[in-house]
Amino acid sequence: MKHALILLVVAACRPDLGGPSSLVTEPRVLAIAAEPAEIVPGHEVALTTLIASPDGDLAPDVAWGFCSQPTPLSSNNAVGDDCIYGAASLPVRGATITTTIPIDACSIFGPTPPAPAPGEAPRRPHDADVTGGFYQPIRALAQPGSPDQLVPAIGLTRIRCDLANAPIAVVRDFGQRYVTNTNPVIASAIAQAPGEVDALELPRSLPASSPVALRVRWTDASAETFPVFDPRTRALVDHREAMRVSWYVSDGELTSDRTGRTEDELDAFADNVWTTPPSGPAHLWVVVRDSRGGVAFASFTIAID
Amino acid sequence: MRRALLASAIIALASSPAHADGEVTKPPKLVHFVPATRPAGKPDEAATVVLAIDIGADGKVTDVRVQTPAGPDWDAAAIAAVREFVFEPAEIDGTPGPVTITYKYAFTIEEKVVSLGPQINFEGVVVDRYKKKPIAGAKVVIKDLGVEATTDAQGAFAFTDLPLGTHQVELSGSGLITVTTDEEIAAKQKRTVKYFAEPKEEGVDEEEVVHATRIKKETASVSIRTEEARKVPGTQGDTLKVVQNLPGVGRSSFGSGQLIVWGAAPNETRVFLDGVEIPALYHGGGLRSTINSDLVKSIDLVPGAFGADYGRGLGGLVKAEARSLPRKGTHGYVAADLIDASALITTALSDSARIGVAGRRSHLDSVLARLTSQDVGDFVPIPQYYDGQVLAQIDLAKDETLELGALGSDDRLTRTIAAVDPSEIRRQQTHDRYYRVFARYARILDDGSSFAVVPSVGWDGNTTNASFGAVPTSLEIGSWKSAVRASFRRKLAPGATLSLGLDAAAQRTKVSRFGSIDLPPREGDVSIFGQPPGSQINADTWTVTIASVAPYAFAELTAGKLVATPGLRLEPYLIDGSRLTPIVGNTPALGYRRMQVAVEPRLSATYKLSSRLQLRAGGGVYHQAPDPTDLSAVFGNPTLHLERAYHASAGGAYKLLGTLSIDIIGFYKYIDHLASRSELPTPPLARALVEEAVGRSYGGQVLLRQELTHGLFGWVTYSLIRSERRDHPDTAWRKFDYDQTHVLGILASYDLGHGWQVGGRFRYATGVPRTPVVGAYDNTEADQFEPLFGAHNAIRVPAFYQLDARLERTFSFAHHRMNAFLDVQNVTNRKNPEEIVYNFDYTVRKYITGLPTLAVIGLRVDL
Repeated sequence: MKHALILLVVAACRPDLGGPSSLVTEPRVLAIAAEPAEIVPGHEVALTTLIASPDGDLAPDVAWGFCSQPTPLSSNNAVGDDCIYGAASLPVRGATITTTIPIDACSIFGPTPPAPAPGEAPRRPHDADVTGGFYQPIRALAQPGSPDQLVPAIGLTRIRCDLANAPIAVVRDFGQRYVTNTNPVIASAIAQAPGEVDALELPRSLPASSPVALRVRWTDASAETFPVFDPRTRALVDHREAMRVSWYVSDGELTSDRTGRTEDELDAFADNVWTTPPSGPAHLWVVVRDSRGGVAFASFTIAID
Repeated sequence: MRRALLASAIIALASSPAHADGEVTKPPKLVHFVPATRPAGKPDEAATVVLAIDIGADGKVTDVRVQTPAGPDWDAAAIAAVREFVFEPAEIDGTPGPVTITYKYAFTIEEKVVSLGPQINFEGVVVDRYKKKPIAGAKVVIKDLGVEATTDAQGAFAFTDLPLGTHQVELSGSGLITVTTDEEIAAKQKRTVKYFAEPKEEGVDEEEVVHATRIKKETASVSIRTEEARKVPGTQGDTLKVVQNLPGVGRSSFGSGQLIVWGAAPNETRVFLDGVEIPALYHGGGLRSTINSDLVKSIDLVPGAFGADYGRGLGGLVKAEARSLPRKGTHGYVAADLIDASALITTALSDSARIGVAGRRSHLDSVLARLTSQDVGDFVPIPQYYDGQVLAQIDLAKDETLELGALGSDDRLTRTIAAVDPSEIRRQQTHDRYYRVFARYARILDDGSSFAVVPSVGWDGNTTNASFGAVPTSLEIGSWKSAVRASFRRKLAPGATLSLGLDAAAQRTKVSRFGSIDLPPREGDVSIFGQPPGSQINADTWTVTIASVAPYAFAELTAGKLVATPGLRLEPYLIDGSRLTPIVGNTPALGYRRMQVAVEPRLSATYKLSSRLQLRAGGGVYHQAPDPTDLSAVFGNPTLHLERAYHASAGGAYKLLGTLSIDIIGFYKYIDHLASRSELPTPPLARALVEEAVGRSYGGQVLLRQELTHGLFGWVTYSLIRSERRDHPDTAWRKFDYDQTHVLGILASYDLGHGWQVGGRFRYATGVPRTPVVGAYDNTEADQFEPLFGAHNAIRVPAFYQLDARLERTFSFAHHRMNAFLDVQNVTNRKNPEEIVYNFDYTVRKYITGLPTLAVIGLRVDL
């Protein structure tokens, strides 16, 4: 018995989902930078937003609120739905504020849950992310236009908590070796139009409808090395921060929405290509993030020739 | 009284039902008897020749063979006479069909008064339900009279001069499970019946002992013969894939091949081959079954309310039965196509031993890589798979057989989606495999009792390594499994048969898991297709041993038109785990051990209102051990108990015409002690899962079925099912992730003649539930929008409907047969939505659509 099949036609269809995330078509909160980038609960932190619109940077009124509950285990989201519109607003408002991280952040969002009440079982510690970090989520409700126009966003402020459930020797070693995260620093942002010999610093004017090579460079110190407690081996493992660059434009088209470097890639820059719009001006935003939650950003207004 | 020389003939053997839900049908009737010419020189001698007579669908004798010779001259005389016999053809479900009977031709000398009255007033034949072949060796007992007959090789039996009135007739014997019915013997009338039995399969020696009707313990079950299944459009000749077209079975999700039966989760339905549980009926993507179709004789789907001989599952049963290997010669095939390549060889080692070896390897992944876009691999990963089977069958003695088998299946999938953004690089590697070695010893004792024992050992492995950007996932599961099933069945009294059994199983599972608690996702998780898992990670390694020994018993009790099958299964479970709490510092692991006894009463009953209408009802209690992967102190809950389900079903079957029947079944299932994720943001230690969830499924199914006759077979199935879950006592009922309210299937295949066969299949299924996105916010740390969800599973993917067609042509040659076919899926090229996808900020919702027209051309040569 012989059996032969011939498959004639096979295909599958991915729908067209419209414009890319790098195209800013309405007001958006592109980044929330915390300074310092990693902080012990109970200490002050400065929060700065990067809010973009098709017309450039905005500095609208922003209502802030700390999330008070972690996300349920059944959710992939960073915060529970209640936090977005239910978090109590802080007394300070604006695109840039200074506030104090709640003192109980490590017990609510970290590895040291509160002591159980009498008769209750101890609580499950929260898991760390791949960098060993824990974060205090903070909600930002930007109001760039009318009162009905609210733009919700979440920022995650890395908090310095104890290392839980690790052997004592590992805890001691971790305390000695761990380096608190700092925000990356953008060293330069350059653009090279077709036919140009050298790339020039942004901001600058660019030719219309042309593929322009973009490069953002960060300082060598931005990608830090830090120890992480590996729950499999129950030992510390050194990692180097991966770097991600998010690109946004108000017009034109970027080849990639995001670029970056893995922790094994030592180059301190990332490239992209922007096909400029037929007319200007246009706006370009660059957000550099390290894998421990550090953020740096820059925005440019580009004249289109 | 005067002395006369008579040549008398007696049809000596009996008929029996041919299938589990069979009806009494009509045996062949001798309408033209030709007396044999006594051999010269033997006017006063007596002799008896036992013959096997093949009778065609037209009632003519097509072949005569001597089974018990009396001497060359006697044999020749008997054969010559019988060749001139003419029968009123046998009817199978009201349709004339070929049968074989055993005929005892006796040359006797006796003194008697010649009587013109009927001598045979009850006769019949046991025939193969589908191929119209007789079943030999069945015992037909008139229980109230204590007389019996055995079917001959032609499946025939006869009784002479039975007293008038109603008699209780019992069919039993080699390979048979006893069935009982009533027959009315009227004055001056000959009662002619036909009992139909399970189908014989292709390539099986026609003389082998034939399996006959099994007692139908389940209220709702569907049996499909492989010959029909192979012609179902859309299955590409894989007979086991026909299960997806049966009533009560939901449409599996895109490319998954999962079995969703009566609203149950895929891991709640058990699959057995000859009593050996296998973890997966299909390879990844549902492309092929993991068992070579040519080694499978029949497929039974029991969607629920099954008998006491099976357990450890809350859903349904799929029972595949291995075919009997050919007793003569060497057979086999080699196949190669764009999906996979396979080979099978069987050979008879001796008169009593035969062996079959089969293997398969896929290559569709590399084919698709050349023919299609990357999208296929992104959305429908195509695995590489292997499978192999070795089957040996040995006849130890009459009615005593030993089967040895080895099964193996291996699925691998590797997928990498590259990106310039490290957070968007996605890698996935999975490796799923299982291996089984088993034996099956079966014996029919002289008193009709039967005994079978099936020991098996095996190993299941599942490995997943994946990463979403920097978030890793690693899951390694290795499970040693051993099981023994033993059963003994004996008739205790007229109308009462008892089955006793022992069903023992043990598995030792080691699990290593690393990664996000969200991955792999659980039923009930609220997320959207393609959403990255949470970035928090953890790790755990644990070992779980789950063992249970289930003695069970059930009886088949007949009282008139009522057949009741009460049963009881007692199953103590032992659960032994290595870790009750997560690792804290250097604290050593604290293990646990606990026992839980499952008491599972089962009951089914049928009541035959008439020869056409039968009512059925059944129900029972079912348990299932917690999944070892849920018993993690970090990701799950080591204290989970058995999950429990209650099944109840009722319905009826009505025979519209001889081979056209309709089955209607309603059912209700309630499940409790289901594991679900804790709703607490910070749950207690080692309680990430809680056993607070309950579930319910209810609905009904209709099967209008035309069995193969006059070249036509097909069925219409409609299932109306609602399946719901409530995750916690304080939450509302929601639709089950696999819920499909309406599932309609229309399928037909017709023999046009001259070797042409045409078939079509239409499927409609309600889309699966999904949770709507009502908003989104920007997670600026991850630079991704995250969805805000509406009510859980409040919307659905749009309905699926698809038309498939199949055209085939069979060419018959002297020594082989060739079959060419064209199997076209989605003839109308409908873009069926399969999954919901969103743009980056969840303001645009669209659908991934399924495969467009898919045409498969095949060629098959039978040697």
